[in-house]
Order: sequence, then C-alpha cells, then structure tokens
Amino acid sequence: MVTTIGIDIGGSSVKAVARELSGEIVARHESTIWLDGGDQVAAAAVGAFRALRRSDAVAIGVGVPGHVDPATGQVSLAVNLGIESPYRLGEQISREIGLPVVVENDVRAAALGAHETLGFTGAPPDSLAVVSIGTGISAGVVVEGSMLRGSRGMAGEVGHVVVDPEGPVCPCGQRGCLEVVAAGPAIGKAWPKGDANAPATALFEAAVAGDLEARRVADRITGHLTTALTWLAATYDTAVIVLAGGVSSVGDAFLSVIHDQIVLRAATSELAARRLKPDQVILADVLDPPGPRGAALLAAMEVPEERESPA
Amino acid sequence: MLGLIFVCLINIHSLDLRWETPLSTETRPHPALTPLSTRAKATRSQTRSNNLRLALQIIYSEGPTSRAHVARASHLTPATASALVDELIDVGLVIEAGIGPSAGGKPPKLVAPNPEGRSIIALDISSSWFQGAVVDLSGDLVTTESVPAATGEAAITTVIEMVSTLAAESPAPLLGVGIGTPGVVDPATGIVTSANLGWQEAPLGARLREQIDVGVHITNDAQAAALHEYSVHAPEVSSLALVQVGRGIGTGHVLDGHLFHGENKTTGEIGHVRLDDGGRRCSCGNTGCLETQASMSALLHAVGGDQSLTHERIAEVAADPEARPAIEAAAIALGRGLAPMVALLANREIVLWGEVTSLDEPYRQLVESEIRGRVLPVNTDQIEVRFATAGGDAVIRGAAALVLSSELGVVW
Repeated sequence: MVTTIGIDIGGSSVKAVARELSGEIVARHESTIWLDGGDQVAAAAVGAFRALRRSDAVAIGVGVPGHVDPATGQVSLAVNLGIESPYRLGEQISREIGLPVVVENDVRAAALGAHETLGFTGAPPDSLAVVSIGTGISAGVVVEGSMLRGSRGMAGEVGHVVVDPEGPVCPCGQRGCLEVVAAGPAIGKAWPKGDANAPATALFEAAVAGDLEARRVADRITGHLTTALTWLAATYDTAVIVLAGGVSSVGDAFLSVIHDQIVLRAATSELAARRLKPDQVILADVLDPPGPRGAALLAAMEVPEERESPA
Repeated sequence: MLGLIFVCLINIHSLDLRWETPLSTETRPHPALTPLSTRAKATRSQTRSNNLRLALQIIYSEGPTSRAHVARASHLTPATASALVDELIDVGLVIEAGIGPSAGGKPPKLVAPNPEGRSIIALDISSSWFQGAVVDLSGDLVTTESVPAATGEAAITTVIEMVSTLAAESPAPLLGVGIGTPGVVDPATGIVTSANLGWQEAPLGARLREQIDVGVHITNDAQAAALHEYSVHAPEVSSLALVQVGRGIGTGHVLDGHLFHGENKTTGEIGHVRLDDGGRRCSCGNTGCLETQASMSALLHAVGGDQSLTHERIAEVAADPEARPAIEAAAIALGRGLAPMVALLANREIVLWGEVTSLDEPYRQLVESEIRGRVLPVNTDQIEVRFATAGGDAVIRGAAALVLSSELGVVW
C-alpha cells in the first residue's frame, strides 16, 4: 500500500497523518510543541514523520500558517512560527527524509481536506471555505474541486481586511482589521475575566450560560466574524463554511453564537437569508481534522506518478 | 501523435464544453499563455465545463490513463477528477479501457477517448471534386463521398446535400461540421468569398446552420491543411507555417497551438505582396507580386509548354533539365517572399503544400537556403523547410481537426 503523509504545523502543535490514496487515514500522530524559527519547524515536521513510522510513504505535504511559495516550498511571514524572512522549509524537510515535499498554507490545505471529508466531488454546489480563527484569522477556499491560491498566493488572507475603521491599530499598520478585533488575543483582551489560558472558552460559555455582559462582547466579536463569513459566502457562493483553529475549538458554545448572528441578519433580509444559512456553517471535525488530511491529499495530488510505486 | 490546441467553441449537445478563450497547450493554465484580450469572468457552470474540457484534454493527450492521473495533471481533487471522468463517460466521449498496473494499491481502471462517441462531418471543397467524409473521434474516415465541383448557388446546395447525406450515414451523434474552402473566410460568420467557387460573400455558414443543428466551422483550405499538419506533428512542434504554392500562394498558420485567423480574414494571403516594382502584371492588377514569380502557374509560364497546373505536369517540369533555371528562380523568389514572415514569426517549420510538392529536393534546399540567407543567423539553424507529409486528404482531415479542436479543445 502507498501512503502520503500530511503534516499540519501550528504555533503550538504538530498534527500528522498517513493517508492512503483511497482517502483512508491509516495513522495519526499529534504532539504539542512550541516552535521558533524555520529550523525548529523543519525538525518538528521530520519528527512527526518519523513518529508515524510509515515505510510506504511516497510524499509529504506540509501545511504552515504563513505565506508559502508552493513552487519552491519557501515559507515567509509565518510570524507564529518565528519565520519572518523566507525559509526553504520544503527543501530542508526533503533533505532529511529523502521524499518529495509539498508545502502549502495551512488553511488552504485544510480546505482541500474538508472537501474530501464532506464527500464533495467538484460538482456545484460544493464550493467551500475553511476559516481558521485562532491567533490570527485566515481562510482557504476550494471551488469546484480546485484549491484557490490566487494570483500572488494570497487568496483567503481575510485577517487583515478592515471591519472596524474606528477600531484599534493593528500591527500590520491598518486600523480595525478583522484579526485585531476578533482573533484569540482580541478575545483575551475583551474578556479578561475567565481562565487566561482559554479566554475564548470562558467568554462563549459565559455568553451561552446567560451572562449578559459576556453575551454583549461575544455578539460584537462574532458579528465581525459573521461579516467575514458573509464575504466568503457572497464571493464564492459557498455551500459550506468550516470553522477551524483555536477559537473554533471552543465548540458548540462558539458555533451557537455565530449561528445566532447569521439568523439575526437573515431576519430582515431575504437576500441575507439565502446567502448564508446557519446550517451551512459547521465546526471542523476534531477527530479527523481537515488540516493534516488536506496536506496529505495535496501531496498525493502533486507527487510525480513514478513515485507511487515503491521500488 | 496526440496533442492539444488553442480554440474557440460552438456547441456540443447537452454537454457544453464551450470555451470563449484560447486553451493552453499545457494542461494547467500558465501566466505566459494568458490571452491579452480581456475575457468575461468565468461563471460557475463555465468552471465546470472548463474542468470537463481539461479532463478530456488530459485523456486525449495521454491515451489510456487513470482517474488518479487526471486528478494529478489537472490539479483538481481526486474526487472531482473522478466525477468529471464519469460525466465524460456518461455523455459517451470517454470509455473504460481496462485495468492499469498497480501503483502499490488497487490496480486503477483506465479510461480512454471513445472513438465512436461522436461523428464529425468534414468537407474539402477546394479542388475539382468536392470531397466529404464522416470522421470518427480517432480521426478515421468512416464514410467518404465525392461529387464534381460546382460554382455559385449550385455549390452551396451541393455542400448542403453532401452534409445531409453524410449526416444520415453517421453512426454516432454529430459533433459538428467542418469545411475547408478556397478563398477568404470569416470564421465567425462562415461567410466565404472565393473566385474559384464564384462566391461573393456567400453565407455558407448560415445556410448550413438552417439545415443542421450542430456547430459549423469553415476555414480556408490552407489553414485546414496547416491544422492537419500540426495535428500530425504535435506536440513536437507548437507552431508551423504552411505555405500553399499552386495557382497562387497562401499561408496557414498555427501559432503556439492556435490556428491563427487574424483580424481581416485574409490572413496568410502573401501571394500578392509585391517583391519588385515592375515585373509581370498579376491577376490582382498590380505588378511584381510574389505569385507572379514563385507560384507554380508562374513556373509553368516561365517554362512554357503545357500550362495545365497538375502534380503530374509539375513533376514533368522537375524532371526537365532545361527547366532548372526557372525552378531555381521560383525557389529564390519564394525564399525572398517568405523571409520576412520567418523573421517575424520565428517559424521553425515551414511546410510547402500544393502542386509544389511535386518539385524536388534541390528546389526545397534552395528555398531554405534563400530564407536562411535573409534572416538573422541566430534564427537560421532552427529553420526547416519541408514538403507537406499530408496527402490529398489534408484539407478534409484539417477540417475535421478544426471541429474536434473547436468543440472539444483537443487535437489528434
């Protein structure tokens, strides 16, 4: 049997899977690790690959939160991983392991993974977006079976679109970017009352439990997020939007507030109601996360055919 | 050899694979090949039909291949590629073709083009007999028919009758009708002006469309022959210039896999470019046109004797030692006339077609060396002048290839 390996690298964890060409996941590995710099990221990917112990692997896909040149496997602007200037991640991993390596933006790879887990086959309506809400916010889009990279590899970078022109200044230089008003750190600032390690959980659980102040803060934050979801729905006519990332891992409490926001907007507008229905917005599968699956699928899609037959 | 081509599309039954912009010779869009003209934003259903075309192109260019390969070559997800292949099978353009070698897992089912999925009706109305054929999707001529050439309105009704007869004999649903005609053609409207056929802006395309509900593709005979030469030699060559040398001189161009139509419908009509002030008077009214010096009728005029322009007569001239100076003069004139075109288009392949193919190797060499002597040396080692390999069926096969490329975006 032949497998490809998918490795999803986050700021604090590395998730890896082995995926058969049929789509079945035959091995998983996850480790919690804080990464700082390209060499550590490469070492973590190599470590995750070795932990899977797959001698039948023919290629590796790696998803990283940052700007990726898929042609060269070069990563830049991966701030959460401590990579600022371009780093040849694909080359580094490939040199260690001796297999072809494909590197892609993590959320974009996750969109491919979600396309597979949802059983989509490229026939409309199956456009989907994965929106990762964690330390930052970004989206990946698959339209009719094709992952969108965009003309400069920046498709889906919604985190630094301004949603509140009066809002706080963002490190990027603009004011009121989606990220600076709705991502994890913004939630921590807006809701300092709960567990400092899990502010999003504290906020959304309090809001759902009936704490009016929490509800007000949660509504404001999810209102901004819902605006972003609406952009994606309006732009790509998405059949499904999958929420991933650390904030989304709060789970049903978070999703229910998002659903409420969607219903609220639909209440007065037939157009809004048609564009985005609450049941079109779902949480990523925690048991079969789209990130590593998508990275493995991408490796299967990109690996040269002759590599498929292990000599 | 199979290859891919740039095209524009008209119609194919329920499966709409139309493209409004050129299609790359690669299976993946490449920025360098992006058309310069603006294109309408693709709608969702266009994306789907583009993906279907892409899948079909991959299957045509690879022969029997797996769904996994289609996915890899198209950069679509495997589930998407598989669904596209299934749809192509449903509409009859692709068939299952056995089991391929295992790549470590379950051996893949192969798919291949379905030669019998559609029929093409192709006509060549450029010679003294109108020839027609039903062509299957592997390029084989299934049924052929010939009738004596006609002119004027009679020529139009003859063409319509031939198409109806062939349509009735077609064993499969029709993909489209392709016609190679002498003269000047507007490919968009199918309006033809041809002295030989006695047509002044004859609405051949519209008349045919009244009779038959499939795409009708009409092109100049030299362009049809160029497309056929290209499809025989693709993908080793991506561009070629076919130079028709007979009664007059015309050219057909395939550029980067594109059959080039040009803007004013008279693309390739280089026969009436004046080489000299003075010289013989041409049928066009000017003097010193390339045709008056390098066409095969000019050669016969220079040699004297029997003026009937046939392959046999030209072969006779080629064998006559006394005709050698006239042949050499014609070769040099042709080389002079073609050199600017070669410099401009950086052609590697210059294919001579028409009665000229009955001339000999020394003539060919002289044309080639004359071109080489007149363009920058950096270009010359790439240049190859050769006689067309295609036989008398080049126009009819080119007309069929035009339908295939226009409707499905693929070539043989």
